[in-house]
Amino acid sequence: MAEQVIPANQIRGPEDKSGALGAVFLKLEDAVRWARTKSMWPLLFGLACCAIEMMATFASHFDLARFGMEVYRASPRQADLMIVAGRVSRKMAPVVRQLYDQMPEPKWVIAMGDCASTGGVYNNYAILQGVDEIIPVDVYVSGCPPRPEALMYGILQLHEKIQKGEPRGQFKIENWGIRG
Amino acid sequence: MAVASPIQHPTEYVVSDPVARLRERFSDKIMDVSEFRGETTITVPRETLPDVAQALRDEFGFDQCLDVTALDWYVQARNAPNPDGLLADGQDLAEIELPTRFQLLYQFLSHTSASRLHLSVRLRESDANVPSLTSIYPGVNFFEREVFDMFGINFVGHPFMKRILMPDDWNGYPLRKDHTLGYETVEFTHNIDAIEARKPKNTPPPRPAEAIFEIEGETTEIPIGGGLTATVPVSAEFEDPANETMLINMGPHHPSTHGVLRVGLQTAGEKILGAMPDVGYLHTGIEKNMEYKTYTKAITLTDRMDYLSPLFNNLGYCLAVERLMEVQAPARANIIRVLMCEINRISSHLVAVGTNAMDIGAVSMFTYAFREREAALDIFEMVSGARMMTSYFRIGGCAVDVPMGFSEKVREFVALMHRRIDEYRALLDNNPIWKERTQGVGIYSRQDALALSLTGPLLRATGVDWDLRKRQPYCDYETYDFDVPINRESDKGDIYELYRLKILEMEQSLRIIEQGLARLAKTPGPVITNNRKVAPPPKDELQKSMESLIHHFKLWTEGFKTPFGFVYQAVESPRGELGFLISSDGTNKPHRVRVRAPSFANLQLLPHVAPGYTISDLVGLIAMTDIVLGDVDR
Repeated sequence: MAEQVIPANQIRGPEDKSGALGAVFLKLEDAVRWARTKSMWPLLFGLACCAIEMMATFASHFDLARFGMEVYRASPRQADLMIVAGRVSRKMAPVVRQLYDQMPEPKWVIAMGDCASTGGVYNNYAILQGVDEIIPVDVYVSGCPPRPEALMYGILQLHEKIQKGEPRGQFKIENWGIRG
Repeated sequence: MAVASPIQHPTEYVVSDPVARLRERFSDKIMDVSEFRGETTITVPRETLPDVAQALRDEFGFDQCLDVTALDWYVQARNAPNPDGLLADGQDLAEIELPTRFQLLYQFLSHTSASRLHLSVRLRESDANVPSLTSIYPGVNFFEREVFDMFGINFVGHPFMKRILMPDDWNGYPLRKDHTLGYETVEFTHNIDAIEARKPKNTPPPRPAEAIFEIEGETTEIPIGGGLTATVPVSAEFEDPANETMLINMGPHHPSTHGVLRVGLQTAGEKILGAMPDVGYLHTGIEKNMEYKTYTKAITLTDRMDYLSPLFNNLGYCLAVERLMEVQAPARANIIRVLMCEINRISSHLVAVGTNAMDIGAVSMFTYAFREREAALDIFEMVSGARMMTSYFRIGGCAVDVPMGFSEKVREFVALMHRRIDEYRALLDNNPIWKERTQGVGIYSRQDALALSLTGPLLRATGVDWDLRKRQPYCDYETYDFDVPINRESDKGDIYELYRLKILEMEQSLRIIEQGLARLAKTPGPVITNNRKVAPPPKDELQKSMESLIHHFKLWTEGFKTPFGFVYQAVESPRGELGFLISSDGTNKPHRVRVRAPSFANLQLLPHVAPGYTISDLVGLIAMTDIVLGDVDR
């Protein structure tokens, strides 16, 4: 059978692929971002009730492994996504900051749940009003606790954000544009 | 619209005979004996506290001291004619008029007579010292540290009087009434500049944290780098302790500590010489927050303490307030409560067994457990709208009735669980690797369990036949037919025994659920009391009746006022005795809600049982105690 190169827009299925597609052009940044999003390694960092829902997201029913996130590392040196799942108390805050500092670049943070986003139900002496007081957050997932599907949606939003190359996370900005 | 009749308190709560004998024994020392809602409280001066506690343990059969807590009567003491309770010359403590600021409450339990007793000690703010009971009841160790941390009351003779929940360098004692809640005002356009100006700038750096445990016996200092030294024990076993022992920090971020638990380990290689837990990394200030909410609004805060069994938290709190208000939930509400709690017990034990197995290495058990848990969470979501934090119970019953299709779904769940529990037993019961890692590991005796204030499966694993559902029943548990699994072969528990008991408890819960479903079909009626002072009227009635409208308005704006006094109500949660001590000062908000968390007391087993085992066993031991850090730290 003669080797015939079929143009990309005429391929109907695997039977047409001969492995001689030719060259694929894309920007290096897009390729790097694609690699980063498709094999993100979360840091195993559950604090409170949201951790149970995060465990349920990793478990078999909702299965985060299909998004390439099966490998969750306990060591921050080997992780690139920190999912802050649960309320951050004042005693725990320096520990969270140290873990974030120990993660190598590039790194992203998802604040899972209301307590990590804004302090949640607790507005008192013991709880940080949002983990963005100490670390920059990329995606906030609301809920108390958020459903596993909500957490997955937040993770997929993060993947899209990375793929588009949007700027990185930010701290709690005191003047969130309300000063005008 | 009949008002519910007052409930009869079960007589086994009331301790009459020991009180009379205590009066004879300490006739001049007992200051006051009071009874409220079926519970007896004896006020003693602090000097006689150790003698009374010793007598309670040795002569009167109160083998456990389950809780130590304090109440701060700041407002009442400040307004009293003798505000600091300072004694005039020649005046005796018994003569001055109460109230003084602090009231310490100790709670004792006798398993043989199924009775409880409270001891109350009044303390002045200027002299807030009291003898420690750790030499008589070792299990009050963590409780006394917590009272010191939250109230500033010093326990003389405690082996390690340091803060336990707050950071070491915290100023102030949070549960005192003059300590601020720490509420952060929401920033809007109109007030943001004022709030920013008020925030403190240039806060001083925190001082370095202090040691988290004391080392008994002879010690020596070794350099550990950076100009710091560490204290290590000297023992004949090690010729050169500086080179043969290590201080290792495990946590608070660790894959196997079931949450943010920090354990300080002294090891000689792999062998553990000492393990001391450091908690407080999840301290949320829930007890203080509840003092600022009305009784009904505080229900949502209770879910998030023991987050694996939120319905038990709801139930304990609601039962306590119901006893305080002398309100009875209708029969259908009790059936629904039992059903939901037993489903919660199964889902909690699934996580306990699943994470226990995963920590030891059998990772597939974790995936199986969470797969079944989804079925239970589906039921919770069907009934209340939320998978975990349901807040489904209310004062006087349940929020809403169960929807159509509930019984079929629960029946499917029961059938599924019967099959799956057989799978788990086939996987683990006779598995040689599982047995080698868990049998004979973490052996503790019945004396240890009683002395350390352990409750729940940890206590039943040593053969003590104590389950609140049988011995001090609530929600009509006495009418259900079920067994309580206990260790009948020996009076020592280990990890394997805990695993076995949890599996058996799941099977018994399925029995209860089947009986509950049969009753549910035959018991129509309301799911909340018709006492309009505590429970809102049905919505359609608001359009027809003026009184209903007024009741609704009062409940939503002010809530309801409770009578003065305190009540303690405990439920048998999957971890042990979960108790709520609610003290009321006559207003619509609780004066103090004390949560007697089972995990807080159960954690005291860890430093006792860990020495001698390896670090890989320690992971199994932490899983054996089945702690939930939200319950430990609150």
